[in-house]
Amino acid sequence: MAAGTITAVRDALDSLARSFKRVSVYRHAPDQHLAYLEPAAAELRSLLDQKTQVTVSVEATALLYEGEMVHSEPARETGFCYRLHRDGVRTLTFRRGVGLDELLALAHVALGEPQEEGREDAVTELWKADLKHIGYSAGAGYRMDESGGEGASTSVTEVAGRVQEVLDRHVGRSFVEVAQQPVLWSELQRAKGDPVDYAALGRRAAHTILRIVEQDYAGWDLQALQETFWRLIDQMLEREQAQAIGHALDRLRRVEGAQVSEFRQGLGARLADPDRLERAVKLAGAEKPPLLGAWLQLLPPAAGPALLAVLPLGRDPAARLLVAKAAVARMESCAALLPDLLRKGSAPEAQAVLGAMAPLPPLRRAELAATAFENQDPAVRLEAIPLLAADPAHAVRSLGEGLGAKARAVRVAAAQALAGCTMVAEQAAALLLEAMARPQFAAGDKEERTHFYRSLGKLGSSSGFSYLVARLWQKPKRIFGRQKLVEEKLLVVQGLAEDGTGRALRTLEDAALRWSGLPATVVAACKAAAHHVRTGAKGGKSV
Amino acid sequence: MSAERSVFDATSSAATRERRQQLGQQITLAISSLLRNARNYSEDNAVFTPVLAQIQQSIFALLEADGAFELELLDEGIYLNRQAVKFDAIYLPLLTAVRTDLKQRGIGGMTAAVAPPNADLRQLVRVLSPRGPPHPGARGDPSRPFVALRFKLRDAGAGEDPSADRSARLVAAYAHAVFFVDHTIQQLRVSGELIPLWAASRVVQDLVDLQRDMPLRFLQLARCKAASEDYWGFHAANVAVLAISFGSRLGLTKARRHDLGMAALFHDVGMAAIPAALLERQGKLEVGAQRALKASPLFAARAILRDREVHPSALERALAAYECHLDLVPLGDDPVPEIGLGGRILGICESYDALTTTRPFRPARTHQEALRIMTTEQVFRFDPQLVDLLPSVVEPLLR
Repeated sequence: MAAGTITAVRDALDSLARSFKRVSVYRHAPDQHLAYLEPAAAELRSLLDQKTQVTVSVEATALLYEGEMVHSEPARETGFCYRLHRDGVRTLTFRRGVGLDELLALAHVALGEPQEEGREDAVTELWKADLKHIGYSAGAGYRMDESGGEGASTSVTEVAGRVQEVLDRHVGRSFVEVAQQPVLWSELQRAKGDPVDYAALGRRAAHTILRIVEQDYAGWDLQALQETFWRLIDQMLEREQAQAIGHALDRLRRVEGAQVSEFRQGLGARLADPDRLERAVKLAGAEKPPLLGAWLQLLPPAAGPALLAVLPLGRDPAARLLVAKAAVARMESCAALLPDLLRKGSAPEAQAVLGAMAPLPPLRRAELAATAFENQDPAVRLEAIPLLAADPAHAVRSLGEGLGAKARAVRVAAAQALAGCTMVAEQAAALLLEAMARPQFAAGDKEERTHFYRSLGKLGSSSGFSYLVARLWQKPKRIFGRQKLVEEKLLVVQGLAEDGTGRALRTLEDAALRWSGLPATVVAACKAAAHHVRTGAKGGKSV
Repeated sequence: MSAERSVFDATSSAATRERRQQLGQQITLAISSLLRNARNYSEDNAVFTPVLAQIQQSIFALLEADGAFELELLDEGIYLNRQAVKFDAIYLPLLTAVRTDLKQRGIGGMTAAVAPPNADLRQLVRVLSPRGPPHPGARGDPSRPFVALRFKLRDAGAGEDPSADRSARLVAAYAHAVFFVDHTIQQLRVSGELIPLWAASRVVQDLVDLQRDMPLRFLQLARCKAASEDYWGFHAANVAVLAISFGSRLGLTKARRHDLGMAALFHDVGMAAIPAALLERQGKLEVGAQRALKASPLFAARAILRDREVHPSALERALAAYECHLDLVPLGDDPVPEIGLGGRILGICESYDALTTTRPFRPARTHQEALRIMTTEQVFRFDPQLVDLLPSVVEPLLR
């Protein structure tokens, strides 16, 4: 054998091995793989221009050509030879015409990278790949004797004898074999009848596992089936098949049976894995049944921190709310993290948590809302206010600062929330009065001031009532302040109408008298308000 | 990609030639020893054990390295895989005796395309003993033929008969399929050592390849029927034969036909969970027994799914094994079960083979009767489009 040929084979195979290694290293960049193989393909093409085909023997750590080692590598699973040799491939033949796609297919077979889904043996993969220009030979025989026991060969021989007898009887000398039988399905029928659809396969496999578990047939394979189940979920996640996952988990949520609880528990721990949870939250959309709903329901009580970690990843407010609800339902595990999140978290996160707090007791809700009220984002503060008001003690502690907040909406919401704190009416009124005494209050718009006056009236506090009465009867000090004072008196009337008590009614009725000395517009407003309070119409109390 | 059957171009290095030379000497001297001892001992005698082991190992080694075993004992010399084997002068009388003895029987050499089982080698001893046939055929004694070994007959002419070789491979593959299933069910019962999956995969690869080469002969395998005690192995192998043929007629890719064949071999492994006595019971079964039998498809799925493999082929195998036992009719308030193509094809093939086989509770139907039953009385159980195609697929069995 010419040394030149051996050198050419060595160069080509070394190049191929290098390309395979690149494919292995950058396996997450599949669009680059063909490009990685181009140098090797060029070398091989040049070699195969000289020889129509080249056959190399495959050893565990080497390739031999004509008995000469033309490539060697350490014994590791990511090598060119290791998996091929381990699975029984003994020679590889490269024929003229070999293309990039075929080399890539060979690379995928040869590289023994761990695959979560498992894989068939290399010989089967090569056989299925059906490559035109890359041949192989495998260790001969089925070797069933090795694990089938001593009796294997006898059994096989007996069966073979019977089979031969049947064939001899039915395949006589006159038997005519055909080369090709007509195909009964069109391409279209095949595509329709046998769709390549991992989602359907995965979903049906998951349902089959659940049927086994539901009917208590899992036996000692329960854990193995559990592992298969979550591998299926992983595969479907990898392939972004949200609907199939939704179906599988929704069924898992609903099945019953003696072994189901254990099965579900084990699965729940897997589903709470941060990476897996993150991918699920990112993937979840509008599929039915909803992926996220089922997934979150299956998580264990300890999953609270993981849930808070993925909270910002939810696609939309509804998804984030679902995650937040799941976290709040696992409060025990994430109680220490929630205040910080509410205080420093982004608006979408904090809002989702605030929205999910309904099941909590009012006191706990108010405590958490108080921390959310410390958040810099006005939207968060705004959302915290109604929850904060649920506990008057917390409300008066926190909302006073809100009445002077920069954001108008916060100021208004705080005032409105304080209006509900009738249990601590005097304290709340004091806060409102303090805010109303500030110069900024007077500079605010009419609508905001209206809210404050009405809130003050609604509280029904003595100090608030006194303040309103005093303002109602206040005389103008200067001629130029008359119009402004009328405007304020009209707000006071609204406040008294909100008060709605007998004393407020009497005040309004007095003010409505023609000789009260109040401006006509105020008198008219007082009349209307008095009627309003008397009749117990909206906003007033029946007197 | 096609599996290479001959790779001599890769193995002409000095090291390979030397190895072949060594193996050739070992096999020839072992045959000489066989011939000598076969005159005095029966083939079961332990005296043959080491010699047969050596022959078997040598053939293994050649099949592994060259992909073939071909020993020619010609007047002008001895050739192993077309390479002349040289001997020291001291062995020449032995060689002459071997050549003469075999020549008298019309044997010019031996070949094997797959590894010969022990039984073949014991059979070889008998054929080469004075008790053997004076003129054995290519498969040895026609009454007890070899599975894998073949004689090269001197009067058979120089031309090789590829169809005879393929036919031998067909029989060997089918027999191994039967053994695989029986052994698997048996081992599942006792939690024993299973034959690795790759071995079954190779069998099915060969079945798919052979179906493509000889579709009509291949389908005739479905006529092989079991006695009641080894029903499951034959049944599964027949379902594989029918399903691969069905897949081929539908124009499915060879990978999909392989999936069908594998699923067929596994479709009844759930029977391992059913007590053997129950399987052989005649007459009507009580409710508990019926429930156990109905659960067997789930046990089959469990046996496959517990391997933690979730690649498409593994899932196809598990699902087809389970779904082929489902009928396409709604159960109570449940919707019609969703069944993949594999399950639908296997369901048809499974019923067809079961009907044409004698069972403890009923005799076998003819192929025509089975077809009639499936396309009339039981038609609701199957995919209507596929069951309509069944007569075309099994037509060669109706002749």
